[in-house]
Amino acid sequence: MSEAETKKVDQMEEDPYELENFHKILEDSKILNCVQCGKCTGGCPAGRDSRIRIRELIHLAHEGHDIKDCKELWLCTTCYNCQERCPKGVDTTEAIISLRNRAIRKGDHNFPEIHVTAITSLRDQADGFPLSPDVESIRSVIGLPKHPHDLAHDPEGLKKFQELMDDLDIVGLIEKQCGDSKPWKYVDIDYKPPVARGAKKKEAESDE
Amino acid sequence: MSEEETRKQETYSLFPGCIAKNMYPSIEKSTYTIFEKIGVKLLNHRYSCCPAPGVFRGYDRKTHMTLGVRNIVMAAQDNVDVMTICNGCYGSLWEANEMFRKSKENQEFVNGKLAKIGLSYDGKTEVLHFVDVLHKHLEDVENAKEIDLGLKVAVHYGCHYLRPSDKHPDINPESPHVIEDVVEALGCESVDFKNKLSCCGAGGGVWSGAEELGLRVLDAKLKNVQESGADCIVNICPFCHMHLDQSQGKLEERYKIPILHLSELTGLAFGIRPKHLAMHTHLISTRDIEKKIKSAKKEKA
Repeated sequence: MSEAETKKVDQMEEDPYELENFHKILEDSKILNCVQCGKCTGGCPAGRDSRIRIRELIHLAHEGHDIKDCKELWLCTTCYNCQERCPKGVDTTEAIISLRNRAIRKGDHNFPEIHVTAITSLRDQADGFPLSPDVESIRSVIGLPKHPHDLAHDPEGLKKFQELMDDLDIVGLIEKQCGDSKPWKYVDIDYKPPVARGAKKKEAESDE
Repeated sequence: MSEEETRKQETYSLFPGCIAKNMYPSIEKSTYTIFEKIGVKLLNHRYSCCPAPGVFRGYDRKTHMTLGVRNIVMAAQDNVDVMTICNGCYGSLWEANEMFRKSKENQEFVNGKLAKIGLSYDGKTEVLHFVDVLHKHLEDVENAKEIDLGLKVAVHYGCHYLRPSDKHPDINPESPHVIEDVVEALGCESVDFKNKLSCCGAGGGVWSGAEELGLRVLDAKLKNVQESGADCIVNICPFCHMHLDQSQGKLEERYKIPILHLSELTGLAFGIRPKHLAMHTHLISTRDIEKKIKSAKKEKA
Protein backbone atom coordinates (compact mmCIF):
# COMPACT_ATOMS: atom_id res chain seq x y z
CA MET A 1 0.00 0.00 0.00
CA SER A 2 1.29 3.40 -0.84
CA GLU A 3 -0.22 6.85 -0.83
CA ALA A 4 -0.36 6.76 -4.62
CA GLU A 5 -2.62 3.68 -4.51
CA THR A 6 -5.22 5.28 -2.28
CA LYS A 7 -7.43 8.17 -3.27
CA LYS A 8 -8.11 11.15 -1.08
CA VAL A 9 -11.62 11.11 0.29
CA ASP A 10 -12.22 14.80 -0.36
CA GLN A 11 -11.31 14.44 -4.02
CA MET A 12 -13.73 11.60 -4.61
CA GLU A 13 -17.16 12.14 -6.02
CA GLU A 14 -19.35 10.55 -3.45
CA ASP A 15 -22.36 11.11 -1.34
CA PRO A 16 -22.07 13.62 1.47
CA TYR A 17 -22.98 10.97 4.02
CA GLU A 18 -19.80 9.05 3.30
CA LEU A 19 -17.67 12.17 3.50
CA GLU A 20 -19.31 13.09 6.75
CA ASN A 21 -18.85 9.54 8.02
CA PHE A 22 -15.13 9.56 7.24
CA HIS A 23 -14.59 12.87 9.01
CA LYS A 24 -16.67 11.64 11.92
CA ILE A 25 -14.34 8.64 12.33
CA LEU A 26 -11.32 10.97 12.34
CA GLU A 27 -12.98 13.18 14.92
CA ASP A 28 -14.43 10.46 17.18
CA SER A 29 -11.18 8.53 17.37
CA LYS A 30 -9.11 11.72 17.75
CA ILE A 31 -6.87 10.77 14.81
CA LEU A 32 -6.06 14.44 14.29
CA ASN A 33 -4.12 14.40 17.58
CA CYS A 34 -1.60 11.90 16.18
CA VAL A 35 2.03 13.07 16.29
CA GLN A 36 3.37 9.98 14.47
CA CYS A 37 5.52 8.87 17.42
CA GLY A 38 5.18 5.21 16.44
CA LYS A 39 4.41 3.69 19.85
CA CYS A 40 1.38 2.01 18.26
CA THR A 41 3.40 0.12 15.66
CA GLY A 42 6.10 -0.61 18.26
CA GLY A 43 3.69 -2.55 20.48
CA CYS A 44 1.68 -4.26 17.73
CA PRO A 45 1.83 -8.09 17.94
CA ALA A 46 0.48 -8.48 14.40
CA GLY A 47 2.89 -5.92 12.99
CA ARG A 48 5.89 -8.07 13.87
CA ASP A 49 4.77 -10.75 11.46
CA SER A 50 2.77 -8.96 8.81
CA ARG A 51 2.45 -5.82 6.75
CA ILE A 52 0.11 -4.01 9.16
CA ARG A 53 1.53 -0.70 10.40
CA ILE A 54 -0.95 1.11 12.60
CA ARG A 55 1.03 4.34 12.37
CA GLU A 56 0.88 4.21 8.58
CA LEU A 57 -2.88 3.55 8.53
CA ILE A 58 -3.49 6.41 10.95
CA HIS A 59 -1.20 8.65 8.89
CA LEU A 60 -3.05 7.88 5.65
CA ALA A 61 -6.42 8.48 7.27
CA HIS A 62 -5.12 11.68 8.85
CA GLU A 63 -4.09 12.92 5.41
CA GLY A 64 -7.58 12.17 4.12
CA HIS A 65 -6.76 9.05 2.11
CA ASP A 66 -9.53 6.56 1.63
CA ILE A 67 -8.13 3.31 3.05
CA LYS A 68 -11.23 1.20 2.65
CA ASP A 69 -9.51 -1.27 0.34
CA CYS A 70 -6.39 -1.74 2.47
CA LYS A 71 -6.17 -5.43 3.36
CA GLU A 72 -4.17 -4.42 6.41
CA LEU A 73 -7.39 -3.32 8.10
CA TRP A 74 -8.22 -7.01 8.51
CA LEU A 75 -4.88 -7.96 10.08
CA CYS A 76 -5.52 -6.22 13.40
CA THR A 77 -6.24 -8.63 16.29
CA THR A 78 -7.95 -5.74 18.17
CA CYS A 79 -5.68 -6.34 21.18
CA TYR A 80 -5.86 -2.63 22.08
CA ASN A 81 -2.14 -2.42 22.93
CA CYS A 82 -1.68 0.59 20.64
CA GLN A 83 -4.71 2.39 21.99
CA GLU A 84 -3.66 1.87 25.60
CA ARG A 85 -0.16 3.17 24.93
CA CYS A 86 -0.94 6.15 22.70
CA PRO A 87 0.44 9.22 24.47
CA LYS A 88 -1.97 11.49 22.58
CA GLY A 89 -5.11 9.55 23.45
CA VAL A 90 -5.91 8.48 19.89
CA ASP A 91 -8.44 5.64 19.90
CA THR A 92 -6.47 3.68 17.34
CA THR A 93 -8.22 0.31 17.71
CA GLU A 94 -11.64 1.96 17.70
CA ALA A 95 -10.60 3.75 14.50
CA ILE A 96 -9.63 0.43 12.87
CA ILE A 97 -13.03 -1.01 13.80
CA SER A 98 -14.89 2.04 12.50
CA LEU A 99 -12.87 1.95 9.28
CA ARG A 100 -13.79 -1.74 8.89
CA ASN A 101 -17.45 -0.82 9.35
CA ARG A 102 -17.12 1.88 6.73
CA ALA A 103 -15.29 -0.43 4.31
CA ILE A 104 -18.19 -2.88 4.52
CA ARG A 105 -20.82 -0.17 4.01
CA LYS A 106 -18.97 1.00 0.92
CA GLY A 107 -18.29 -2.46 -0.49
CA ASP A 108 -15.07 -4.10 0.59
CA HIS A 109 -13.60 -6.50 -1.90
CA ASN A 110 -10.75 -7.49 0.38
CA PHE A 111 -13.03 -8.69 3.11
CA PRO A 112 -11.88 -12.17 4.26
CA GLU A 113 -14.27 -14.58 2.54
CA ILE A 114 -14.72 -16.79 5.60
CA HIS A 115 -16.40 -13.94 7.47
CA VAL A 116 -19.40 -14.27 5.16
CA THR A 117 -20.01 -17.77 6.57
CA ALA A 118 -19.59 -16.48 10.14
CA ILE A 119 -22.49 -14.07 9.79
CA THR A 120 -24.83 -16.67 8.27
CA SER A 121 -23.94 -19.09 11.08
CA LEU A 122 -24.83 -16.42 13.62
CA ARG A 123 -28.19 -15.81 11.95
CA ASP A 124 -29.12 -19.46 11.47
CA GLN A 125 -27.88 -20.91 14.77
CA ALA A 126 -27.40 -17.89 17.01
CA ASP A 127 -23.84 -19.06 17.65
CA GLY A 128 -20.51 -18.30 16.02
CA PHE A 129 -19.33 -21.84 16.85
CA PRO A 130 -22.24 -24.30 16.63
CA LEU A 131 -22.56 -27.45 18.74
CA SER A 132 -21.26 -30.70 17.25
CA PRO A 133 -22.73 -34.20 17.93
CA ASP A 134 -19.40 -35.28 19.49
CA VAL A 135 -19.57 -32.56 22.09
CA GLU A 136 -23.26 -33.33 22.74
CA SER A 137 -22.33 -36.80 23.95
CA ILE A 138 -19.37 -35.55 26.02
CA ARG A 139 -21.69 -33.04 27.68
CA SER A 140 -24.06 -35.76 28.84
CA VAL A 141 -21.22 -37.98 30.06
CA ILE A 142 -19.89 -35.29 32.40
CA GLY A 143 -23.32 -34.43 33.77
CA LEU A 144 -24.23 -31.37 31.72
CA PRO A 145 -27.49 -31.28 29.76
CA LYS A 146 -26.91 -32.73 26.28
CA HIS A 147 -28.17 -29.49 24.76
CA PRO A 148 -27.01 -26.29 26.41
CA HIS A 149 -29.72 -24.01 27.76
CA ASP A 150 -29.22 -21.48 24.97
CA LEU A 151 -31.00 -19.71 22.17
CA ALA A 152 -30.00 -22.29 19.58
CA HIS A 153 -32.17 -24.83 21.43
CA ASP A 154 -35.17 -22.58 21.93
CA PRO A 155 -37.07 -22.55 18.60
CA GLU A 156 -39.40 -19.72 19.57
CA GLY A 157 -36.62 -17.48 20.90
CA LEU A 158 -34.47 -18.28 17.89
CA LYS A 159 -37.25 -17.18 15.57
CA LYS A 160 -37.47 -13.83 17.34
CA PHE A 161 -33.68 -13.47 17.25
CA GLN A 162 -33.74 -14.07 13.50
CA GLU A 163 -36.48 -11.46 13.12
CA LEU A 164 -34.21 -9.02 14.96
CA MET A 165 -31.23 -9.89 12.77
CA ASP A 166 -33.29 -9.56 9.60
CA ASP A 167 -34.53 -6.20 10.80
CA LEU A 168 -30.91 -5.08 11.31
CA ASP A 169 -30.26 -6.43 7.78
CA ILE A 170 -26.65 -7.34 8.52
CA VAL A 171 -26.63 -10.59 6.52
CA GLY A 172 -28.03 -8.78 3.47
CA LEU A 173 -25.41 -6.06 3.79
CA ILE A 174 -22.49 -8.49 4.00
CA GLU A 175 -23.74 -10.60 1.10
CA LYS A 176 -24.42 -7.59 -1.08
CA GLN A 177 -21.26 -5.67 -0.33
CA CYS A 178 -18.75 -8.40 0.27
CA GLY A 179 -20.16 -11.40 -1.62
CA ASP A 180 -17.54 -11.05 -4.36
CA SER A 181 -14.56 -11.00 -1.99
CA LYS A 182 -11.90 -13.49 -2.94
CA PRO A 183 -9.83 -15.61 -0.60
CA TRP A 184 -6.52 -13.98 0.15
CA LYS A 185 -3.61 -14.50 2.43
CA TYR A 186 -1.83 -11.88 4.38
CA VAL A 187 1.44 -13.10 2.89
CA ASP A 188 0.14 -12.00 -0.53
CA ILE A 189 0.57 -8.42 0.51
CA ASP A 190 3.86 -7.21 -0.85
CA TYR A 191 5.86 -7.21 2.37
CA LYS A 192 9.19 -5.48 2.61
CA PRO A 193 10.79 -5.63 6.03
CA PRO A 194 11.40 -2.18 7.42
CA VAL A 195 14.91 -0.89 6.76
CA ALA A 196 16.71 0.19 9.91
CA ARG A 197 17.39 3.86 10.18
CA GLY A 198 20.75 4.81 8.76
CA ALA A 199 21.16 1.40 7.08
CA LYS A 200 20.94 2.90 3.61
CA LYS A 201 23.53 5.48 4.46
CA LYS A 202 25.89 2.82 5.82
CA GLU A 203 25.37 0.73 2.71
CA ALA A 204 26.29 3.68 0.54
CA GLU A 205 29.37 4.32 2.65
CA SER A 206 30.56 0.72 2.42
CA ASP A 207 30.10 0.81 -1.35
CA GLU A 208 32.52 3.66 -1.60
CA MET B 1 -36.45 -13.98 40.32
CA SER B 2 -37.35 -11.30 42.84
CA GLU B 3 -34.87 -8.77 44.13
CA GLU B 4 -35.24 -10.17 47.60
CA GLU B 5 -34.13 -13.63 46.52
CA THR B 6 -31.04 -12.35 44.74
CA ARG B 7 -30.12 -10.39 47.84
CA LYS B 8 -30.29 -13.54 49.96
CA GLN B 9 -27.62 -15.34 47.96
CA GLU B 10 -25.11 -13.85 45.56
CA THR B 11 -26.53 -14.79 42.17
CA TYR B 12 -25.44 -14.21 38.59
CA SER B 13 -26.58 -15.26 35.18
CA LEU B 14 -23.81 -17.38 33.65
CA PHE B 15 -22.99 -16.33 30.10
CA PRO B 16 -21.16 -19.44 28.85
CA GLY B 17 -20.26 -18.21 25.36
CA CYS B 18 -20.15 -20.36 22.21
CA ILE B 19 -16.79 -22.01 22.70
CA ALA B 20 -17.12 -23.10 26.32
CA LYS B 21 -20.53 -24.69 25.86
CA ASN B 22 -20.09 -26.05 22.33
CA MET B 23 -16.41 -27.02 22.22
CA TYR B 24 -14.93 -27.16 25.74
CA PRO B 25 -17.72 -28.36 28.07
CA SER B 26 -14.99 -28.95 30.67
CA ILE B 27 -14.86 -25.18 31.16
CA GLU B 28 -18.63 -24.89 31.63
CA LYS B 29 -18.78 -27.87 33.97
CA SER B 30 -15.93 -26.68 36.19
CA THR B 31 -17.47 -23.20 36.37
CA TYR B 32 -20.74 -24.57 37.80
CA THR B 33 -18.90 -26.76 40.28
CA ILE B 34 -16.49 -24.17 41.65
CA PHE B 35 -19.07 -21.42 42.05
CA GLU B 36 -21.39 -23.79 43.87
CA LYS B 37 -18.54 -24.60 46.25
CA ILE B 38 -17.86 -20.97 47.04
CA GLY B 39 -21.54 -20.25 47.60
CA VAL B 40 -22.36 -18.29 44.45
CA LYS B 41 -25.53 -19.23 42.58
CA LEU B 42 -25.51 -19.30 38.77
CA LEU B 43 -28.63 -19.10 36.60
CA ASN B 44 -29.07 -19.98 32.91
CA HIS B 45 -30.71 -17.87 30.26
CA ARG B 46 -31.37 -18.24 26.55
CA TYR B 47 -28.32 -16.48 25.15
CA SER B 48 -27.06 -16.13 21.60
CA CYS B 49 -23.42 -15.55 20.62
CA CYS B 50 -22.23 -12.42 22.45
CA PRO B 51 -21.62 -11.57 19.34
CA ALA B 52 -17.86 -12.00 18.94
CA PRO B 53 -16.13 -8.62 19.17
CA GLY B 54 -13.40 -9.09 16.59
CA VAL B 55 -15.53 -10.38 13.78
CA PHE B 56 -19.06 -9.05 14.25
CA ARG B 57 -18.15 -5.65 15.68
CA GLY B 58 -15.92 -5.18 12.64
CA TYR B 59 -19.01 -5.57 10.43
CA ASP B 60 -21.30 -3.11 12.08
CA ARG B 61 -21.16 -1.58 15.54
CA LYS B 62 -24.88 -0.92 15.86
CA THR B 63 -25.80 -4.51 15.01
CA HIS B 64 -23.20 -5.72 17.48
CA MET B 65 -24.52 -3.44 20.21
CA THR B 66 -28.17 -4.41 19.61
CA LEU B 67 -27.49 -8.16 19.70
CA GLY B 68 -25.29 -7.67 22.78
CA VAL B 69 -28.02 -5.77 24.61
CA ARG B 70 -30.58 -8.45 23.68
CA ASN B 71 -28.43 -10.89 25.62
CA ILE B 72 -28.15 -8.57 28.64
CA VAL B 73 -31.95 -8.19 28.67
CA MET B 74 -32.31 -11.94 29.32
CA ALA B 75 -30.54 -11.49 32.69
CA ALA B 76 -32.15 -8.12 33.36
CA GLN B 77 -35.59 -9.75 33.26
CA ASP B 78 -34.52 -11.81 36.29
CA ASN B 79 -32.87 -8.91 38.13
CA VAL B 80 -29.40 -10.47 38.02
CA ASP B 81 -26.07 -9.32 36.61
CA VAL B 82 -24.31 -11.19 33.83
CA MET B 83 -21.13 -13.13 34.59
CA THR B 84 -18.97 -14.15 31.62
CA ILE B 85 -16.22 -16.78 31.52
CA CYS B 86 -14.69 -15.45 28.29
CA ASN B 87 -12.80 -12.26 27.46
CA GLY B 88 -14.56 -11.94 24.11
CA CYS B 89 -18.03 -12.17 25.65
CA TYR B 90 -16.93 -9.81 28.42
CA GLY B 91 -15.57 -7.25 25.96
CA SER B 92 -18.64 -7.48 23.73
CA LEU B 93 -21.31 -7.26 26.39
CA TRP B 94 -19.49 -4.70 28.49
CA GLU B 95 -19.05 -2.45 25.50
CA ALA B 96 -22.61 -2.93 24.24
CA ASN B 97 -23.78 -1.93 27.72
CA GLU B 98 -21.55 1.17 27.78
CA MET B 99 -22.51 2.26 24.28
CA PHE B 100 -26.14 1.94 25.30
CA ARG B 101 -25.72 3.83 28.56
CA LYS B 102 -23.69 6.69 27.14
CA SER B 103 -25.86 7.75 24.23
CA LYS B 104 -29.53 8.59 24.05
CA GLU B 105 -29.46 8.01 20.32
CA ASN B 106 -28.20 4.47 20.89
CA GLN B 107 -30.88 3.84 23.54
CA GLU B 108 -33.58 4.89 21.11
CA PHE B 109 -32.09 2.79 18.32
CA VAL B 110 -31.70 -0.38 20.42
CA ASN B 111 -35.02 -0.13 22.22
CA GLY B 112 -36.74 0.62 18.90
CA LYS B 113 -35.38 -2.62 17.44
CA LEU B 114 -35.99 -4.65 20.61
CA ALA B 115 -39.59 -3.41 20.92
CA LYS B 116 -40.41 -5.25 17.70
CA ILE B 117 -39.65 -8.57 19.43
CA GLY B 118 -41.29 -7.54 22.68
CA LEU B 119 -38.18 -6.57 24.69
CA SER B 120 -36.75 -3.41 26.24
CA TYR B 121 -33.73 -2.45 28.36
CA ASP B 122 -33.14 0.17 31.04
CA GLY B 123 -29.32 0.00 31.22
CA LYS B 124 -29.22 -1.08 34.86
CA THR B 125 -27.61 -4.51 34.52
CA GLU B 126 -23.87 -5.02 35.06
CA VAL B 127 -21.56 -7.25 33.04
CA LEU B 128 -18.85 -9.00 35.08
CA HIS B 129 -15.91 -11.24 34.39
CA PHE B 130 -15.71 -14.43 36.45
CA VAL B 131 -12.11 -13.78 37.49
CA ASP B 132 -13.22 -10.63 39.30
CA VAL B 133 -15.90 -12.62 41.15
CA LEU B 134 -13.36 -15.32 42.07
CA HIS B 135 -10.93 -12.66 43.22
CA LYS B 136 -13.59 -11.16 45.45
CA HIS B 137 -14.09 -14.61 47.01
CA LEU B 138 -10.39 -15.40 47.45
CA GLU B 139 -10.93 -16.50 51.04
CA ASP B 140 -13.74 -18.86 50.04
CA VAL B 141 -11.51 -20.22 47.29
CA GLU B 142 -8.80 -21.04 49.82
CA ASN B 143 -11.33 -22.67 52.12
CA ALA B 144 -12.80 -24.82 49.34
CA LYS B 145 -9.38 -25.89 48.09
CA GLU B 146 -8.55 -29.55 48.72
CA ILE B 147 -5.18 -29.79 46.99
CA ASP B 148 -2.27 -27.39 46.83
CA LEU B 149 -1.53 -27.92 43.16
CA GLY B 150 2.17 -27.03 43.30
CA LEU B 151 2.33 -26.25 39.56
CA LYS B 152 4.42 -23.63 37.81
CA VAL B 153 1.93 -21.77 35.64
CA ALA B 154 2.28 -19.18 32.89
CA VAL B 155 -0.61 -16.76 33.26
CA HIS B 156 -2.22 -15.59 30.01
CA TYR B 157 -4.57 -12.63 30.46
CA GLY B 158 -5.76 -12.23 26.88
CA CYS B 159 -6.68 -8.82 25.57
CA HIS B 160 -10.27 -7.85 26.23
CA TYR B 161 -10.15 -8.38 29.99
CA LEU B 162 -7.39 -5.80 30.42
CA ARG B 163 -7.92 -3.49 27.49
CA PRO B 164 -9.45 -0.97 26.98
CA SER B 165 -8.53 -0.27 30.58
CA ASP B 166 -11.66 1.75 31.43
CA LYS B 167 -13.31 -1.56 32.40
CA HIS B 168 -11.04 -1.74 35.47
CA PRO B 169 -9.92 1.67 36.70
CA ASP B 170 -7.92 0.05 39.54
CA ILE B 171 -5.95 -2.47 37.47
CA ASN B 172 -2.73 -1.43 35.76
CA PRO B 173 -3.06 -2.94 32.27
CA GLU B 174 0.72 -3.16 31.93
CA SER B 175 1.21 -4.96 35.25
CA PRO B 176 -1.96 -6.66 36.51
CA HIS B 177 -2.07 -9.03 39.49
CA VAL B 178 -5.52 -10.65 39.49
CA ILE B 179 -5.13 -14.12 37.97
CA GLU B 180 -1.81 -14.41 39.81
CA ASP B 181 -3.61 -13.90 43.14
CA VAL B 182 -6.05 -16.70 42.32
CA VAL B 183 -3.43 -19.21 41.10
CA GLU B 184 -1.26 -18.49 44.14
CA ALA B 185 -4.28 -19.15 46.37
CA LEU B 186 -4.52 -22.54 44.64
CA GLY B 187 -0.92 -23.33 45.57
CA CYS B 188 0.61 -22.59 42.17
CA GLU B 189 3.58 -20.44 41.32
CA SER B 190 3.05 -17.85 38.59
CA VAL B 191 6.24 -17.67 36.51
CA ASP B 192 7.33 -14.58 34.68
CA PHE B 193 8.06 -14.68 30.97
CA LYS B 194 8.87 -12.34 28.12
CA ASN B 195 5.95 -10.38 26.62
CA LYS B 196 3.63 -11.93 29.18
CA LEU B 197 0.68 -9.67 28.36
CA SER B 198 0.85 -10.13 24.60
CA CYS B 199 -2.05 -11.29 22.46
CA CYS B 200 -2.50 -15.01 21.59
CA GLY B 201 -3.04 -14.08 17.93
CA ALA B 202 -6.65 -15.22 17.49
CA GLY B 203 -8.66 -12.03 17.99
CA GLY B 204 -10.02 -9.45 15.60
CA GLY B 205 -11.12 -12.03 13.04
CA VAL B 206 -7.49 -12.99 12.44
CA TRP B 207 -8.02 -16.60 13.60
CA SER B 208 -10.44 -17.18 10.73
CA GLY B 209 -9.45 -14.48 8.25
CA ALA B 210 -5.63 -14.55 8.34
CA GLU B 211 -4.75 -17.86 10.01
CA GLU B 212 -1.03 -17.82 9.19
CA LEU B 213 -0.62 -14.52 10.97
CA GLY B 214 -2.47 -15.89 14.01
CA LEU B 215 -0.08 -18.85 14.07
CA ARG B 216 3.01 -16.66 13.96
CA VAL B 217 1.79 -14.55 16.87
CA LEU B 218 1.01 -17.77 18.77
CA ASP B 219 4.44 -19.21 18.02
CA ALA B 220 6.14 -16.16 19.55
CA LYS B 221 3.97 -16.49 22.66
CA LEU B 222 4.63 -20.23 23.15
CA LYS B 223 8.36 -19.82 22.64
CA ASN B 224 8.50 -17.36 25.52
CA VAL B 225 6.37 -19.61 27.73
CA GLN B 226 8.56 -22.62 27.03
CA GLU B 227 11.68 -20.71 28.00
CA SER B 228 10.07 -19.87 31.35
CA GLY B 229 9.82 -23.58 32.28
CA ALA B 230 6.11 -23.38 33.11
CA ASP B 231 4.08 -26.62 33.42
CA CYS B 232 1.06 -25.14 31.67
CA ILE B 233 -0.64 -21.96 30.48
CA VAL B 234 -3.61 -20.73 32.51
CA ASN B 235 -6.09 -18.50 30.67
CA ILE B 236 -9.42 -16.82 31.34
CA CYS B 237 -10.81 -16.88 27.80
CA PRO B 238 -12.09 -19.93 25.86
CA PHE B 239 -11.18 -18.29 22.55
CA CYS B 240 -7.53 -17.88 23.60
CA HIS B 241 -7.86 -21.37 25.13
CA MET B 242 -8.99 -22.83 21.81
CA HIS B 243 -6.26 -21.12 19.80
CA LEU B 244 -3.56 -22.03 22.32
CA ASP B 245 -4.76 -25.65 22.52
CA GLN B 246 -5.85 -26.46 18.97
CA SER B 247 -3.41 -24.43 16.91
CA GLN B 248 -0.28 -25.72 18.68
CA GLY B 249 -0.34 -28.80 16.44
CA LYS B 250 -0.25 -26.60 13.33
CA LEU B 251 3.11 -25.11 14.25
CA GLU B 252 6.42 -26.46 13.03
CA GLU B 253 7.84 -26.46 16.54
CA ARG B 254 6.12 -29.16 18.67
CA TYR B 255 5.56 -27.37 21.95
CA LYS B 256 2.92 -29.58 23.65
CA ILE B 257 2.28 -27.07 26.44
CA PRO B 258 -0.93 -28.01 28.31
CA ILE B 259 -3.60 -25.29 28.35
CA LEU B 260 -5.97 -24.82 31.28
CA HIS B 261 -8.82 -22.39 31.75
CA LEU B 262 -8.73 -20.87 35.24
CA SER B 263 -12.08 -22.56 35.99
CA GLU B 264 -10.57 -25.96 35.20
CA LEU B 265 -7.47 -25.27 37.31
CA THR B 266 -9.66 -24.17 40.22
CA GLY B 267 -11.85 -27.25 39.75
CA LEU B 268 -8.81 -29.53 39.94
CA ALA B 269 -7.66 -27.78 43.12
CA PHE B 270 -11.16 -28.24 44.57
CA GLY B 271 -10.64 -31.97 44.14
CA ILE B 272 -12.79 -32.64 41.04
CA ARG B 273 -11.44 -35.68 39.21
CA PRO B 274 -10.04 -34.83 35.75
CA LYS B 275 -12.26 -37.53 34.22
CA HIS B 276 -15.35 -35.74 35.51
CA LEU B 277 -14.24 -32.62 33.69
CA ALA B 278 -13.57 -34.39 30.36
CA MET B 279 -10.04 -33.05 30.36
CA HIS B 280 -9.28 -35.57 27.61
CA THR B 281 -11.16 -33.31 25.17
CA HIS B 282 -8.15 -31.01 25.17
CA LEU B 283 -6.02 -31.53 22.09
CA ILE B 284 -2.79 -31.08 24.06
CA SER B 285 -2.72 -33.81 26.69
CA THR B 286 -3.03 -32.63 30.29
CA ARG B 287 -1.88 -36.00 31.67
CA ASP B 288 1.44 -34.72 33.01
CA ILE B 289 -0.41 -32.04 34.94
CA GLU B 290 -2.84 -34.59 36.34
CA LYS B 291 0.05 -36.80 37.47
CA LYS B 292 1.69 -33.91 39.29
CA ILE B 293 -1.58 -33.07 41.00
CA LYS B 294 -2.05 -36.69 42.04
CA SER B 295 1.35 -36.80 43.67
CA ALA B 296 0.67 -33.46 45.39
CA LYS B 297 -2.52 -35.00 46.78
CA LYS B 298 -0.66 -38.08 48.03
CA GLU B 299 1.96 -35.96 49.71
CA LYS B 300 -0.74 -34.14 51.59
CA ALA B 301 -2.35 -37.42 52.68
